[in-house]
Amino acid sequence: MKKTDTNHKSDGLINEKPNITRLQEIENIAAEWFLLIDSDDCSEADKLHFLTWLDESPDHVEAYQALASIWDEASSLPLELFTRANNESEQNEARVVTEQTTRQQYSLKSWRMRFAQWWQPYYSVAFASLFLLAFLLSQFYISTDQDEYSYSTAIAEVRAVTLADGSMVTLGADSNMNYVETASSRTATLIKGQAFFDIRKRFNKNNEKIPFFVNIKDAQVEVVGTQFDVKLLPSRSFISVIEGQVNVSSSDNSISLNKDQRAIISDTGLLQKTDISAIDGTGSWRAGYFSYTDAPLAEIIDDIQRYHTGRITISSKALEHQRITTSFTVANIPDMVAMLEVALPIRVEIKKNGRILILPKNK
Amino acid sequence: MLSIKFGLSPSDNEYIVQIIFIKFAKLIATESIESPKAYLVQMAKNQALDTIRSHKRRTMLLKFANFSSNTDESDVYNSERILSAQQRLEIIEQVMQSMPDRRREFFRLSRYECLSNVEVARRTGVSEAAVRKSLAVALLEIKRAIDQKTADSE
Repeated sequence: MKKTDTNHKSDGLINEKPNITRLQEIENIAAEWFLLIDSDDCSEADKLHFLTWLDESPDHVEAYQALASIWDEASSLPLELFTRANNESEQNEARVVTEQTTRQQYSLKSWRMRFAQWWQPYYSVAFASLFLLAFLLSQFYISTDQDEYSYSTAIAEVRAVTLADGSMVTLGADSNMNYVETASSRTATLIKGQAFFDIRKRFNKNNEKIPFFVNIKDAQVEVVGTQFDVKLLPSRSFISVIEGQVNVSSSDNSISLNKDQRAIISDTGLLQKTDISAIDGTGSWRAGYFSYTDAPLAEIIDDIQRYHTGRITISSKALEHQRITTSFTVANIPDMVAMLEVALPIRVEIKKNGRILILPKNK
Repeated sequence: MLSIKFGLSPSDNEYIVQIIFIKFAKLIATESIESPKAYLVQMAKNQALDTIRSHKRRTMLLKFANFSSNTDESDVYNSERILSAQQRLEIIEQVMQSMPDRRREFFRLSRYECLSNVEVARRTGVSEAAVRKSLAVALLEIKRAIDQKTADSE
């Protein structure tokens, strides 16, 4: 056990060890309060209870002050310190998890103590829920062999997320993805929309590569470490590789894709391989830039729809299959649709509420 | 703009502007930013909110200061410090280097980008409670490391 808070010599002489544990317990509680108080879901009852807790002992105030001070200091650290990659961290992970569980037990014990002390109707309800929360949290930490995350974006929102393994994913607008990580596998499931993956290589204890899987509704993509884009449209799915190699398998077939190649999977699971035209700029949507070579109008509209709040409707099947080569930025979607009037035999109506109608041109 | 919206003093504003420009200058060197103006405004807002939270804490703690051993108002935080500010920052750095990637990321979003716990949770796809728990552990780790160093240097 580490020696802590040497400033408390007054009662340290009597019995040092229990005193240290007591101060650490106070610290544990102070840290929980500290994070809760600044939170949006801190209730008035919580605040009141917190003030009562502070009032109980100067040690409580001191522990809280010490943490507040570290918190403020940390915000002035330079960026390099936060982003420096550290390979040792994974090895430390196991140790840290055990530590967390131990701490959890400490805090549970202290909550129980408190629970007994404050046996009053008002507090008992609050404590019962806090106790339950702490219990659920401890369950969460005990079962850390599998971590599950869920990410989603709103219309026109593009978000970059860093997965727990350090891989970067840019999630396109109106998209939804789950990610599960265990010691031996990494699996992302794209449920809706589009995502650009920049996968970091990872190795297990035996120095074997940990595969990264991307599941979509009718296929699975297997990668080791590379950059690629996955897009789901109602009718078809696209997997486009920018760097490295990926394996794609569906019920129909299994193929491997290299740099600048794309797999197209139809809704029947049919797998097709094509080369990516340089103009297409795979992944350029992340910077709000869209580019198409000889693509059906319906496909472009399906893409745009995720970036535009008003419904865009193509009024006839024949128009859906009109092919076009175009490029535009996310900021000028209505202009782009209006410009289509010049290139295609269509008429575009843009309503005030953002709704866009694409009609056949009047004779 | 900041003083009108958040009711901060001019010195606070200068502090915030200075901090965000230092951070921004480092940031543009490392990653591309789509809309620098929007980014700066958001950063200023986050930093201002963080400063306000810090102020609130200090004000609240002052009310309790007479209960603790130190009553010097200007010195609410700096009670009996043995280590220098530089030494303390070095310890924070060391602890941060040894954090698991995920916790370090939470810590970065919270402390460097000054995001609220809710926002950290939203960006990383975990629950707010998980973020709070993780940050509490981070804070405790740093505190214990500082205590250890203080004990060693005595």
